[in-house]
Amino acid sequence: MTAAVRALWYKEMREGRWKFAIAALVLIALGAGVPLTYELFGGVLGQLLEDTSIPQFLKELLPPDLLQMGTFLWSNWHAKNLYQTVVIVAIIFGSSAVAGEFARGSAQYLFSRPVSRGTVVLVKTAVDLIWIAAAALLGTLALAVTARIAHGYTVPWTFYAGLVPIMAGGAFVYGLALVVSTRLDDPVRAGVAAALVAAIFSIPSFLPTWRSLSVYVQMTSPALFRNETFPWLPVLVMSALAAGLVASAAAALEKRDIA
Amino acid sequence: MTVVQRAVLGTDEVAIVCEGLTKRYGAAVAVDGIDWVVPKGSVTGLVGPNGAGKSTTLKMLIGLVRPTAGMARVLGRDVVAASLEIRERTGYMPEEDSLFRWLTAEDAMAFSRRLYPTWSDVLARETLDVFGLPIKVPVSKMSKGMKRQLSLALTVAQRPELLLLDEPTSGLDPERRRDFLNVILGAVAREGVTVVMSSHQLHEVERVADRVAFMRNGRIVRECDLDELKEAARRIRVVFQGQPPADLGTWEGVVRVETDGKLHLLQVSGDIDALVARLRAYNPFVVEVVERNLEELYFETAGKEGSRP
Repeated sequence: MTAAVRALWYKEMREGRWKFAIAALVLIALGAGVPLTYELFGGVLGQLLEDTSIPQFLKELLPPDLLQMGTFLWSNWHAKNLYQTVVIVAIIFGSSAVAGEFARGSAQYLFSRPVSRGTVVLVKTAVDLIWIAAAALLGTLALAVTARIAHGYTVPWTFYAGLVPIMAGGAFVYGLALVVSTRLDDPVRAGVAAALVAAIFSIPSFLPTWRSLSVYVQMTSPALFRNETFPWLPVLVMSALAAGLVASAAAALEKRDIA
Repeated sequence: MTVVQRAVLGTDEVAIVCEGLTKRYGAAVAVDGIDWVVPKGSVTGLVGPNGAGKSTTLKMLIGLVRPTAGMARVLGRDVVAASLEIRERTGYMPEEDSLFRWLTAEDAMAFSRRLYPTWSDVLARETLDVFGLPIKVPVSKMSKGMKRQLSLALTVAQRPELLLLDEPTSGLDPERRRDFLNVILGAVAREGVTVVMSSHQLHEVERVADRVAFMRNGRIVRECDLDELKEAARRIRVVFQGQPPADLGTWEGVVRVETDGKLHLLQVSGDIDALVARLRAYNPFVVEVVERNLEELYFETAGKEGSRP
């Protein structure tokens, strides 16, 4: 790591720490909260299953192992709270990465330093993804600790391995937001635009034949929990797409006038 | 011989050379094909009204803005192809306050130290001392003047070969402005740094610059040595006791005569002392050389340019 990269690294760590703190607090609260709702959820579900007014075919739609602790935690953490929060946090970090420099008025100072714009983008991406991954890990640790204390349940290794596809998808969404961020000077507008683009990518999730192509479905990696099969291909594809988006953002920024 | 050809002949003596340098934003032309050579070691004042293209020109030189057409070389390197090297060897101070808001002077020094191989902590601290700037106060809590001072201290401590200063003294009180100019002059004297300074403060430019470039409507309309300019722009005011010589307007060295009653204002060129001696032979009531300051020359240049079709 060159001295210039270290200088940028320090700057980005410094500027991203509050966003990280908020993201980490939210994820820790969510992670700790999921195991605590198990009994409430189990009670409600038990009542539903015993309710004779509900048709049997509807009851059969529910996964038979839904009341198992592991299934409950996975479906409410990796398949819901964690991936959704990571997507939101990735949009917030990505959309403010470059647009934030313009909004704060620091773009002229930053981009007149002897560091290439590509390096600036790469360092921003690396630091932001580290912050997001750290927040996701802290949330998952909070879930694991609470599950252990409240229910004596030890989460399996798949819960930690599941962070990899979550982060690969998060990097993809971050890349989308970063591309938008190089084109707009206002981080709020960039964030809204990035959220709209990210929403478009959710459309395949609602189409059974296209479902497996959805980045959000792949982030939740159901096969990892059910079969303990690590989703190498989706992770590699999402990572490659994320790298392409970051490279595209760097190229766009290189051509942009900092007026 | 083109500007570039002239520059190539004396590459070591040239800090900046532009040929046909142009920047367009859609239909609007911000910089309109300027040809410009800045000698090494010179202090050049870049003056002109708002919107003349001064800031855009400086931004193209430091690589913030890409030229639409033409070329520019800074310290012998192309501004597009070698922007990174130029930025390492050039100190740039933008017109707007653009330091990171969380930086203290101490943080800013640590940040800059890693970016510039020629960085000098000693020089940074000396300059901060001149301004009396605290090193633990973040930029977000600094006044506009303090931010300008910190920005200059950081720029000078890079020990650059070239300083590009965009309206550097805006927002400073007269006392701080004086200190500010002294720091710039100190860098020139100590390091032999080349300075290009855009400014609306013509008396400041006059104080520090040895060259001046007048910019208007995206073009450099006049560029020359400041002393030569002022010398060439000198006038003689004369009041004769009787009638003036009938052939006064055709005397050698007299370019133009403006008459207001008995007062004659001679625009002259060449040996002004010989002309004064010749006028004294007519025993006039008054004969004196009128020096003109940069502000008058600026308005004269602006007026001429404004009258162009």
